[in-house]
Amino acid sequence: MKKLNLNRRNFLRGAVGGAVATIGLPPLEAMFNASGTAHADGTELPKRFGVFFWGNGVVPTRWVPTGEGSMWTPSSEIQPLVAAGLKEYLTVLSGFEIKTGNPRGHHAGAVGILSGAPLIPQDPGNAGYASTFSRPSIDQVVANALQPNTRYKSLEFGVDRRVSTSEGTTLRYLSHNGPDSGNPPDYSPHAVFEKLFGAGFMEPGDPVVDPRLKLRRNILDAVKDDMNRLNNRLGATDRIRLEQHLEGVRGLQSRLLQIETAPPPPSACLVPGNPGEIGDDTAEKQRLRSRALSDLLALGMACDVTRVWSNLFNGSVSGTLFWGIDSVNSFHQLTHDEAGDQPKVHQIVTFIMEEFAYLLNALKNTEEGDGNLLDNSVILASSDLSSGQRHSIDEYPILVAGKGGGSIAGDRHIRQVGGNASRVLWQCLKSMDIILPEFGVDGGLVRSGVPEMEG
Amino acid sequence: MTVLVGRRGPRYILSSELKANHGFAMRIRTKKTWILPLLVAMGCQGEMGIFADVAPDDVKVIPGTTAPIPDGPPVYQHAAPNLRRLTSTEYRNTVQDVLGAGYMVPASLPPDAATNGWMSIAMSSISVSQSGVDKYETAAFEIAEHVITSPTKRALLVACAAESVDNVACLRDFVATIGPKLWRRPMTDVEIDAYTQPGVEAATTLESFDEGLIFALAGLLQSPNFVYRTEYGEPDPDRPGLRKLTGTEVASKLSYLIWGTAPSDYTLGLATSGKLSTPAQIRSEAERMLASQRARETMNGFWSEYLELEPITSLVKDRFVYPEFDPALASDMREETLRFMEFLVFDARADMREMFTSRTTFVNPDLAALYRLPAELTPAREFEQIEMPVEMERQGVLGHASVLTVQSHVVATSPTYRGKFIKTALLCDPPPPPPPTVSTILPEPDPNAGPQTLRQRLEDYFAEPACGACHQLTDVVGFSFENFNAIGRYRTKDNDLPIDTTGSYKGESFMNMVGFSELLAKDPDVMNCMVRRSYRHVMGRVEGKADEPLVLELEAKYLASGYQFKEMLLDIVESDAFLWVRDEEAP
Repeated sequence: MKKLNLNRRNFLRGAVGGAVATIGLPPLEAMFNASGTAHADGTELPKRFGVFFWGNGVVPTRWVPTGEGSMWTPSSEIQPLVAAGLKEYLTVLSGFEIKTGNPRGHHAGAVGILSGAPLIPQDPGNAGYASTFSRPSIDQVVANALQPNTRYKSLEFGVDRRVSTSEGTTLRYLSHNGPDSGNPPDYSPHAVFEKLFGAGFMEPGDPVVDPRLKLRRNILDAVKDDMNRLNNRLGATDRIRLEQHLEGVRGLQSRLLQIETAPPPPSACLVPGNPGEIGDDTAEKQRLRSRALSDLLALGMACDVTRVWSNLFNGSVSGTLFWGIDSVNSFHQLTHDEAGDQPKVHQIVTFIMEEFAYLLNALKNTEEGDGNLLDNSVILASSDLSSGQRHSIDEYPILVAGKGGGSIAGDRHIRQVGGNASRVLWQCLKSMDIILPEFGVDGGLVRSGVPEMEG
Repeated sequence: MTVLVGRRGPRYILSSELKANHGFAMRIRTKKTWILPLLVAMGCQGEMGIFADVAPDDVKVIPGTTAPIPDGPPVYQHAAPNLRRLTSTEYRNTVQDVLGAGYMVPASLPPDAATNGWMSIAMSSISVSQSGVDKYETAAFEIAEHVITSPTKRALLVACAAESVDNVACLRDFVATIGPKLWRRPMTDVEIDAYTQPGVEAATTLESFDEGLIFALAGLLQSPNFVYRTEYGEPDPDRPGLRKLTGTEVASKLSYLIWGTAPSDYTLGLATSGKLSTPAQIRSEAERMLASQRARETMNGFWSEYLELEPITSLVKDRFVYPEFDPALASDMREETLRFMEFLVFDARADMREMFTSRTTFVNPDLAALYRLPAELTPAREFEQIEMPVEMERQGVLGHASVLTVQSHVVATSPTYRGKFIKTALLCDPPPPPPPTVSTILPEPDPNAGPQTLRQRLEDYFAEPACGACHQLTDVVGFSFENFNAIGRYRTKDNDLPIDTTGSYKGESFMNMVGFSELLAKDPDVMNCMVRRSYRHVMGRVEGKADEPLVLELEAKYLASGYQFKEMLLDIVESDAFLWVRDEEAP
């Protein structure tokens, strides 16, 4: 193996946070086969799956591109992605609908587009409304199918912390394992850094094995025994909850074991500096937060810490404020109150797409084999509804970014008026080599995808 | 689908206003669930009852509440026990009380959440995620290392010095002493060994006795027996099909409810000597606990949730329009309300309807300035109790800046939020969401019509039947607060026009928020809702049909007590629902 004489801890220090352009990581030819499509030992380059989700929708008249197939012209809301040089990586899917019903604005679309299934309402009449997912969200479907031997099965993070906290798990979390079982995102760049590169991260070639790892696993055996004893005394619902907790304990144990036994991370792996905490009370800080998190994501995946991620950019309904526009009202309030073709909502959607473009470029600039992380990614980007003003779930805003290791052509606009949005999910799964006979529930049930997305 | 027409007494019938609009009250429980589009399409035509708690004939089981309900006179039916995760506050309190006072647990814990208005409901229903498990582990080691490496704390908890690595007896003794306190119940020998043995292994491997203590303690803190409250009782031959909570379980349940922490040695002593096994004994201990300062602190959390004050310190208001609003003022606003509620419950022992009528309140200089109080009512420094002058046209909790600020937008007031809050939090009668596909855009003002107040614009909006049917329910009461701006300061004009705060509530007219608050105080629905919401908080779930007989009984007792809040809480604690659960293992 080629030996690197780099102080990896210091190599990228300060590069996280958007102040400095993402550094393209040096391709280490010795690590790859001759054609650059696989590792030298013949194992294929891994595929990565991500979800980029923002609340409160788009301005549909400013979202849908013109032209179809590969002859398409971006709309003004998609333009930021094209301007950032990402057109070849984009598949725009327009005209699709959420087919699982719309019993509650924001909730229904979020659950529908993320899981292909209807929501579970938790509204016993005289108490305030809440809802939860009935099925796992697609990121967890992928993570469960791939079972990658990475330190984290999936990574959940978010940019804006002002998520709606009182209407159940649907609006609070993006990633779900099932009903009332959400995977809370980390909003702090510092916390995400610690998770990816803090305690438990093994530097390439670092041979030290910490005896505490095994001792921590031992203690967790006692915790598991307690859970099994307790489980016998619980009702069915609580058993499911405790089983979820138990699965988390098993996950922690296997992560501790993995730290003890895993091979060093790929040599493309470079450890950045800790970006620290970043506020969110100005437009500049909002950008910095978003970009620090995007950089950490790219670096984390270069180190193969995880292969599945989700970014809850901003929550649905919640009082998220975007400072870079000429209004102090929350995004949600603007979607309801702003008349005409909603220029301020449009500005916000444009801002979100600029930040999505930054994230995609962070992946694109991370080389791997003869391509980059974005070549090997499938990223679903969408929102909780189409028009915030009407709570509509037709003409749904959906983007797929990345080429899925060659399974997605890119540079397409595929329009299917009234098409079932679950088809896009099915096709994303297929692009990850996860081929299911069917996916989704009720109106969201599909048995095929969107073959036009393929190369 | 079956439609039931108000067969269960006045509480289930819509307000007179609604009856006038819709002619009858409907209450439907949908079958598990996705039949909603049809119902929502109905808009406000009976929507107030769509999700109510009376089951139509085709649904015999209400998930999470009880078994099929037999016909016959209504009797309370017991619910299954539930596993309730400690909130982060309860976790921190427990650690501090068991392992040493004065230590603020700094660790990041899995986030709290609320469902249907209460954390207790979310904590009884949501699962711990992978990242939650990680956070619990990190917190457990952080706490254990802090406690064991602090000589004074260690001395209080550990009988032996940091001596030979193989002092198994001392390590076991540590687990057997601390474990039951953290777990709020006795431990079996198997359980004690289960945490001693890996502790011994850690001590041996790391060649440090104290490392053994740290690992054992970190394990105890990660156990489900610490993280969850597990009050599942034991079978009672006299009441087949039910389980009665054990004394230590009752001690735990009472302590978390009233003190927000693990039971004290005193309460545990009552439990182990069999003095927490009858409803009267439980009530008596609850009464003792309610007399303590700790009960006041815990009840502050209760009212903060009840009145939806939690988000106030993270609210943002327009810094040009409201330059005085910052997190410190927001925190003062919340404090005013919490002091007021504490005063009513614990000091004045008031009829709780006074929460809407009292002009007593608590202000510091910043709040006095916000309220433009005269100099003689402005405290020099700290909070002081004052009487709000009548001419201020502000009384009760709905006149507090806290409530008015939370239920407003960044710049503008929101009669809709304010009305929705009153219906949801105070009347247990939440309005429905906007029907899908209806545009929610407020029509642009007619440029030829001249300036309008927000009320005038909203009233134009009511002309649209798709919107007005519902907005009338919320906004009409919300208008009574229009002379309080988005941070609760009094104003007489909106958009340079005089403000109209008049309206009517359940057939009676009011002039402004004072008049409306008086009407709310007279409405038994408000106090009945308080019983209902308190019951949910204690039980960690929303009541179902099987709870109705008990809830009705509690409402009647509350009325009879002269709406004494502590009495109502004690009545819940003394009830069958507190002490007994359904036996899930019973045939």
